Parts: sequence; C-alpha cells; structure tokens
Amino acid sequence: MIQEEPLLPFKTWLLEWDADRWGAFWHFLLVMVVLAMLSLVIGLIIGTILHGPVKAGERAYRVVANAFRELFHISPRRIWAIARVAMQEALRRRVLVAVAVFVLLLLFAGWFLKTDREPAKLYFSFVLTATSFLGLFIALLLSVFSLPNDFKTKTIYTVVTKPVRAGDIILGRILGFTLVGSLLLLVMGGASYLFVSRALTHTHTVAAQKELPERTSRSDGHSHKLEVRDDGQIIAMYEHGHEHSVEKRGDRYMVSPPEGMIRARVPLYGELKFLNRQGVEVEKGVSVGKEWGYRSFIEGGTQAAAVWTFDGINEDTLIDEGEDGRYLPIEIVVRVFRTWKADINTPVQGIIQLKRPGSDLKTEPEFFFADDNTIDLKYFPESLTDTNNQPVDLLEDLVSEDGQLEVVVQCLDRAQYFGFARGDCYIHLRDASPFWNFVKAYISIWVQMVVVIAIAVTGSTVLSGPIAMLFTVSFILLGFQRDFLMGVATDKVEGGGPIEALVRIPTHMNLISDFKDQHFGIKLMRLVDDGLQALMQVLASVLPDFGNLSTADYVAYGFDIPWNQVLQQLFLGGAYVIGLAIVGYFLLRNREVAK
Amino acid sequence: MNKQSSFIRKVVYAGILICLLIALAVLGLPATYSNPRGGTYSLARMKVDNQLAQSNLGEIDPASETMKLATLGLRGVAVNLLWNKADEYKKKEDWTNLTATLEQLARLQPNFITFWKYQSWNVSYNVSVQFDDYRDRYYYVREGIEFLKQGVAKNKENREIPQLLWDLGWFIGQKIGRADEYVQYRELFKNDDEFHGDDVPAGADERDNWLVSKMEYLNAISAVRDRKKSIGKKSEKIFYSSPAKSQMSYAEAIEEEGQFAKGQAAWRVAADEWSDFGDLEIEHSTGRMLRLGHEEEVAERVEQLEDQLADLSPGLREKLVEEKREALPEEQQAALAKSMEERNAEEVQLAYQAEQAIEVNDKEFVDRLAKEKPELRKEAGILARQLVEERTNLIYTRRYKSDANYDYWALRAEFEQTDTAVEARRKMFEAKQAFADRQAPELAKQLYEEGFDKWREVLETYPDLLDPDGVTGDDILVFVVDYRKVLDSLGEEIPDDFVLWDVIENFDAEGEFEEELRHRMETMGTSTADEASASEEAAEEQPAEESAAEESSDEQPAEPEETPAEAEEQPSEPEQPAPEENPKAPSDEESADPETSA
Repeated sequence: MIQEEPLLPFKTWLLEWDADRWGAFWHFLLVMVVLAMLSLVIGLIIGTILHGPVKAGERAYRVVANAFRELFHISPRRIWAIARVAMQEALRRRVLVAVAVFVLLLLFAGWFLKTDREPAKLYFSFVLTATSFLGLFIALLLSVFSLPNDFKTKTIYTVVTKPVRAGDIILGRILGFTLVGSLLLLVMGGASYLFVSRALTHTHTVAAQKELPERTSRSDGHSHKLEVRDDGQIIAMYEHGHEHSVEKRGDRYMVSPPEGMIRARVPLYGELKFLNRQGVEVEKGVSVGKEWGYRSFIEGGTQAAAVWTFDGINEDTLIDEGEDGRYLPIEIVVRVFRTWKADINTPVQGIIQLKRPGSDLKTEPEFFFADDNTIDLKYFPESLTDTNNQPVDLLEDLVSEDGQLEVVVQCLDRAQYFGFARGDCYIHLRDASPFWNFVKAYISIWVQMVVVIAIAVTGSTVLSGPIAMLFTVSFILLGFQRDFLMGVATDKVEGGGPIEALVRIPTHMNLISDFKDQHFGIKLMRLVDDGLQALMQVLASVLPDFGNLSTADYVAYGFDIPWNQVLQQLFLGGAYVIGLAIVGYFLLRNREVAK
Repeated sequence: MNKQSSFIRKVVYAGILICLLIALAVLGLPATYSNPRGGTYSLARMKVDNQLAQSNLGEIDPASETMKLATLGLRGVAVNLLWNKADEYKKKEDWTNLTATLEQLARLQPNFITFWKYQSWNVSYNVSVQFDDYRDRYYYVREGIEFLKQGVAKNKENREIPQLLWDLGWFIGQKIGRADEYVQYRELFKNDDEFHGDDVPAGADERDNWLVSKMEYLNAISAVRDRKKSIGKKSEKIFYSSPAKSQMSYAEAIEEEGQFAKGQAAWRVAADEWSDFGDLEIEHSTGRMLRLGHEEEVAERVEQLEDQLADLSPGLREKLVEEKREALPEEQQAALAKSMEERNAEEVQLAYQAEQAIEVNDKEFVDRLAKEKPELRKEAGILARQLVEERTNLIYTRRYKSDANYDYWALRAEFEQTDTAVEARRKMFEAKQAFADRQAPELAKQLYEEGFDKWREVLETYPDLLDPDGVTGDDILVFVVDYRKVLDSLGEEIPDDFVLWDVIENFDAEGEFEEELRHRMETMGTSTADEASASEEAAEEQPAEESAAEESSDEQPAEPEETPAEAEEQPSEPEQPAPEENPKAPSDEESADPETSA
C-alpha cells in the first residue's frame, strides 16, 4: 500500500513538542489562543471607537464572563431538545431522498466501472469516494440553511424566549444534524457493503472430464489456472486478486466463491534505510528518473541493499502453523527497473536475508525471482542457518535484546534495479475482519461529515443561507486542496503567489521563468502576494485536511486501518467541533436575538 | 385603472410567452418517421445536416448521455479534473484507477478523437512499459488497443474516423509486431481469446497481428473511399501504403517463424498490393495527383515534350549554347576546352561554372524562338508549360517514391517470391535451429554456407539490394553475425573466400566486423591499394558533381510541403518510431554483455 507519509504514533501526533512539528494538541491550543486574542483586540477597538475605552473594557469583560458562566450552565436536556427539533426539521426536508440517489448510483455503478485486474480495489475506491462526496454534500445542505431559515421565519424568537442559551442552540444543531447524517451513512454503508460483496462474488465452472482441465471457465473477465497441491487439494490459482478452491465430487468439480478478495492485512512496518553500492549506509537509494520519488532504487550485483528494521519482534509476532512449527511471515513488494532487457522470460533475481541489528549475523540468503509490483509472501521458519551454515534461532539469535530485527534485500542481476519504499516490506501479523475495516473507513467519512456540519452551523449563525453554503463549500474545497494551498503559500509550488499566477496565465508565461524587468509593478505584485501568502498560510493552518482524512486507500488495497489512525481522526473531529462551537457561540451572541 | 393596467400587463406577458413558445416549437420540431429530418428550421435538421447528432457519429451510449447530463453543464470542468486525475494516477502508478478514470472520460467526451488517440497511446505505449513481466506488458498493450476499438465503435460515422482506424492498425501491427518482445507478443495475441472472440479459431491466420492490422488499415481506407471521411493531416502516401506494408511484415514474420511456403505466397500477395498502391492516385500536398508506380511514364512524357520543343526549331538550342560559350570569360573557355583528365583543381571549378553558365533553359529557348519564328510562339508556349507541369510531376513523384522507399519495397516483394530467396531464408532458419536447439555447429556452419551461396545468387540477380537505403543487407548481416558465432564455437574465422564480404563492407554500420575487415585489408594489401587510388580519383571528381546536384535541386520548383504536413503525420508522442519502415529494432545492444553496459 502507498504510504507517502508514515503514520505517527498517537502520543507523538498529539503531544510532540518539536521545532519542526507541533503536536496536534498544541496546534489546537495555539489556534484557539490566537483567535481569542484577535477577537478580543478587535472587539476592544470597535468598542472604544463606539463607546470609549472604559465602556468597551467593561463590555468585553461582561461577554467573556458571561461565556464562562454559560459554559457551566450548558444543559444536555436542552441540547437534546434542540437536537430533536433539528432532526425533525431535517426529516421533514426529505433528506432520505439522498439515500435514494445513492442507491440509484449503486444500481448503475456497474455501467461505469470496468472490471479490471483488481476489482476489489476499484469497487471499494468507488463506493467510499461516492459515499464521502454524497455524505458531505448532504451534511452541507442539511445544516447550512437551518439557522438562517429560523431567522427568516422568525421562529428563532420563539426559541430564545425559552430559557435556551446560544451554546445550546449551536451544540444542539450540530448534534441533531450529526445524528441524521449518521443514520444516512449507516444506510449507505450497508448498501455499499452489500453492493461490493455482491459485485465481487462470482464462480467459475470446470469442465467435467477425466483429466483436470488446464483452466477454469471465463467469468467476470478472467479465468484461473488449475493446480493440484501436494495434499490433493485443487486450487484455482491467484488471478484478479483472489483464488478459488475446487472440490471434486464424483465426476464434477465444485468451485468455491472467491477467496482472499477482500482482505484487511494487519502489518507491522519497519524503518527503511539503504546501503549504497559500496555498502555504506545512506538515507535514500538511487533515482531511476521516475517523476514520482516515492520509491528509491538499489543497484543489482553490488553491495547496495534495502534494510528494514522492525521493532517489537517476539513470540507473538510469529504465526503458529501447528506441526510445521512457527514462522515469521514477511510480505514484500518489489518494483523492478531494468536498464537492459536481458532475458525477457526470466525475472530479475534477488536475495532476502534476516540480520541481527548491530552485528554481522545474517541468515543464509534466500533467492527469489522478483514478481514486479505484487505482494510476495516469504515465510521464515524459527530455526534457520546463517551464512556459515551454522544453525541459528530466529528469536534467540537474530532478534536483538530490544526486540529488533533487520530484513536485508538485494538485487543480484547486474545493472538491474529494485525499487522500495518504507511500506513495501512488512511483517504480516494477521488478517483483521474486512467488515470492521469497512466500518472504520466509514468512521473517517463520519468525521469529515461532522466537521462539515460544525463549519456549516457556525457559518450560518451570521451568514444568510446561500452565503453560508458558499462559505462552507469553499472551506471543503480548500480543505481538499490544503496541501496545494500550503504549497502556494510557502512558495513550494512554482509560479509565485496568487496575483503573480494571475499575471502569468494571460501573458502565457511558464511557471519557472522569471519576469524580465523588475519594475515597480512587479515589485508591488510581489509585495501584495507576500501579504496574501501570509494570509493563506494562516488559513491553511486551520483548514481540515480532508484528503488526509480519507482512509479509502487502506480498504482498497486490503490493509487494516490502524486504530491509531481512527483515534487521531476522532480527536481531530472533536477539536473542530469544540473550536467551531465556541466561535459559533460568540457569533450568535453577537446577533441581536440571542442575547 | 390600476386593475386595468395590471390586466394589460398580463395580456402582454401572455402574448410574449406565446410568441416565444411558437418560435421554440418551430425550432424544436423533432424528426419523425414521415419527416425524418425535422422541420425546415428545426434544430433537428441542423443537427442532421451538420452531422452533430450522436446517431450521426456512432453508437449511442445511454450511460454516456446520463453522465453528460449529470454534470449539469459543467462537463468541461469535470473533464479537466478527470484529465488531471488521470495524469496523477499515471504518475503514482495506480493503473487500476487510471483505467477507471479513462473509462469515465470516455463517457464524457466520446466524440473527441484526440482523446482516444492520446489516451490509448498512453496505455499501450507508456503504461505497458512500466511492467516487468512481458505478459503484464502485453495486457496493457491490449488494453490500449481495446480502448481504441471502443473509440472506433463510438465514432463510426465521425468525419475523422479513418485516423482512429489507422491508429488501430498501427498499434496492432507495430506495437505488437515490432516490440523487443515481438515473438512473445505475437504468440500471446494469436492465443488471445478475449480479443478475437470465439468466431476466429485459435491459431487461424486471421489472428496474426499483421493481418489484423492490415484489415484495420483497409477499413480506414474504405471509410475514406466509400463514406467520404477525412484522413486529416495524415500523408496519403503513408495512409495508402500501410495495408501492403502490413502484408509484407506478415510475410517477413511468418518466414522468421519457419513457414516458408506460406511466406512465399504472402510475398506474392504483397507484391500485387504494392503494385496496386503504385497505381493509386495519391494527392500531393499541393493538390497534384501522383502515381508512384508510374514514374517512368512521366519521365517518358517529359522526354517527348523536350523533343517536341526542340523539333520546333532544330539546331536552335545548340546555337544558343554556342552563343553563350562565346560570351564566357577566357579562362572558363580554356578550362572547358580541356578534357576532364587534363584539368587541375582550379580548372575543374571553372569548367563547372562554365557548364552551368552555358546551359539553356526552356524559357530562353522559347523566347528566342518567338523572336525568330513568331508563328510558332503559341505552340512553343503551350509545350513549355506542359513541360514545366510534367517536370514538376516527375520531381514530386520521385520525392514521394524515395520517401516511401517505393522501389526498395517493390524489389523486395519481387525477390522474396523467388525460390532462391526462399531457399536462402530456409537455410538460415535451419542453420540457426541447428546451432541453438540441436547444438550442432558443424551442421549449422554447412547450412549457413549453403545459404550464403543462395544469397549470393539473389544479390547477383538483384544488385540493387546492396543499396544502403534498403534493409535486406542489414538482415543478411544479422545472419553473418550468427554465422560468426558458429565459427567462433568451432575456433574458426570468416574465410577469405567468404561470398558476402561486400555485404559486410556495405552494411556494418555498428562496426562489429571492424577487426575482420582490417585483417582482410592487410592480407589483400595490393588489391586494396589499387582501390584506394581509384577512390581518390573519384573523390577529386566529386566536388563538381556534388555542387551540380545541389544546383539542380535548386532548380526544382519551390515546394512548401514536407515539413509541416509530414510532421503532422506522426502521432503525437515522441516515442513512436517514424512511420516509415523501421524493421526489427536491432537487439544486439540489449543482448550485449551486461558488464560493458554497466
């Protein structure tokens, strides 16, 4: 699975205190403090202009003190009452139509989705993306028009005459809409799972004849090669991401449903380092000129190697195969790059070894033919032999005292290359339930939805319906493009700031070349851009990174979503709700009605 | 009052509404059975007349229409996003999502020909090479081809359809038949049930990639001929020569696989098709119609016209030349008077200039004629114009012929049919087998030598084959390389009386036989010395000839063609080999010792 940024441990993610990266909690705190200070200063300035400094200070104090008092008077009962109203309102507005749209989408999805060699990946990508877009869209429509409508129809006056506080209204709405949204997601999730599992299931037939035929029949765009194992079991070999087992009953063969199509591998990742052709440790391997620098390459026939260091290897890491003893299951993906074609029929060869960190003890090399871009499973039994042909024990000898083990991979063929990234080699601990994995993917969609609802409710406290909708949509779009926004803001993306880009487009200038003469206009443009870029940077630092919130890739590639990831997202969602609710509270308080 | 004005307003509104509705109804009159083209002013008629209706373009795809509608007028934005996504997926090697995105794009812009061309190329050529296993590579080559086929189905009636069909022919022919792994690809293609379906049994000739490619080229031609579609900026000489070329590649390929009887027959077909191509009128970019196989006739006509013109006033041309000669400066006259051998370097130059100066062109001739015999003026003018016309035709024909390598392929198709050539090829094939499969170098050596004797015979009969523009010499050289390997294994060297030394000398562009050639030079010292002096003499003569050639090319009528138009012929991406023949990429480099390449 592609992991361009490794997942940080939860504690590091939340609380790390580093010059380069602040933990999420500190970041949150900073944003809140800056926001509070900013609004206080602005409030004071406006108050001073209108009423003089003393009155302004008095008012500011009152607002803050009031807010603190109300914080302790928040009543779950009232919030629930508001939430119920919000839910009723949502249902009255026929949000369930969305479900019908979604089902319609699934019904016709087959028209647009071509069954490729990795059908599971395609189907999961599709349903999860579709749900997430539709879910966000509905969340937006649900929440953005509600408060403005209340203002318009003046129902808000009836509400505020009751002992309801501004905080209750905000939290109640967020809760109500979240509940409706969750219900919708639940239905969509169920339908999606059903759709995917129905779409993926298929079977083949095997012609009934004396000799086992070479292949199964074609179905769903593929057929399998048939092979008889040593124990007599017939297997329809791996193809299109799955295999089938075949049972012989009398003269006829019964083919099972696809096996291993939907998976949730639980991997244990290691840290990757490279050795260059002289065997010296380096951070990165060789670039073979690919635009995408995700993998770096090691040269064959030299001392160049990719070395993964795994942590926390103990008895539990091994899988028990009963009589056959225990094994260390290592899975590896090799990307092959040939500088010359060599023998077209023979794959490039490599070796894999286990090594004890900090010593020269290595196992005897295991040869393999590189199966390009495919997950290849390597079992290492407990008792192995080292390079001197002496027996070594995996746990006793090869794993260091602190539970570390190294896996060393090299390419053997001269002038051919193997490419690796950190996530290309891992210990396959076990398979988790694909169903729960799917649920976890839906939790991240749910988090995205909650964030959108919180933004929409907050925005709609002061903005009219359509404007609030535009505001929220921009928030979402910018959230999806957060990396790009940050890139432009910090000059990592070529082409300058927004004004410069605007000049480059009509003048047909490319992104790299500089302006010929640096006259005043250009300088002014740069100056304005610097200001805008600073603003963009501030904006980017509070935007939710929707792209990163998606966990669809895990499911699509068949990997278990780590709970750590889910927890991080839940925390993130919570932070947005709290932050936005506070902002929303003050905004609503500011309106005449809710004082 | 108020009520009344409001009533009037409503009536006016209603009136405007009705007027608009009537206009709309007239414009919107749909096509019906009785009136299949819709009303006189209806949009339906305009759609038919301008061939804009989906049913005028190709298959109607409800999914595509739904998707277009679902974008709510933002199709352009959606398409842009998807193209970007496709690029991103390609960069990040997510082939599954790339193909899925292409499918979506195909629904959104099914009649945009460039999309099909570009993206199918992308899949067949750029994505396929990302894989290590040739079976995976083949899978994506075929995906690209299938994608192009889908494009063809959706654009059957599109004006630009011949271009897609031609591309289809090119992919199936060249990408499968000329790849480094063509042996495997051709085999896979033949056994590809998914591609061919059940109608064509496995192993049938109809499954040969070159024949399938030829069929697609023919479809492209028929779309132009029968349905008046456009080939766009593609050069006609390439467009119309493609089927015959595929037939030749087919013959070549099956002979390489050891099917000689079939190969001989295939060459016969190829020769006929090539001569048909020669008879075909091909439009030059200036609008002239040329027939590549009829150069001699044009040349003859030019000659006839020249004679006719000269006959109008016999001796006039000589007279003019004489006048001009007398007007020459003295030193030029002196140089001209000397014989070739007597001239020194300076005189050669002077004589050349003099020769240029005394030449009489048609215009001078006609002008003088008109002065001397005014009654012949009109006739002479007509003849001179015809002459210019025919000369231009001749020049263009020659140029197109050389671009298409017409004569070489005609010759090739002719000699390959002969029993001698087939025998020569069979011996080569058997020799190779004897050496590689049966480990019998002695037998291989014998077979090679017998085969080379046959090749000698072929070359004697068709000496033009030694023309460096052709590829037969290169083909034979490959056999000589194999032969040398056999000799190496026996501890022998290429003998001095080897029959094909001239092939080695002419075609060893890579310098593989440098050592052998030097060795041969040394042993044959005397004779080569003679040759050397002879070639020196030739070199001395050369400047004059060369500049003469330049001059004559200056005389040719200015031709604005070739560059822009020809450049268009080649499909967009740079990786593609030139559409002119590019037989088997030499794989020697690849099989070279890894240590040297490392």
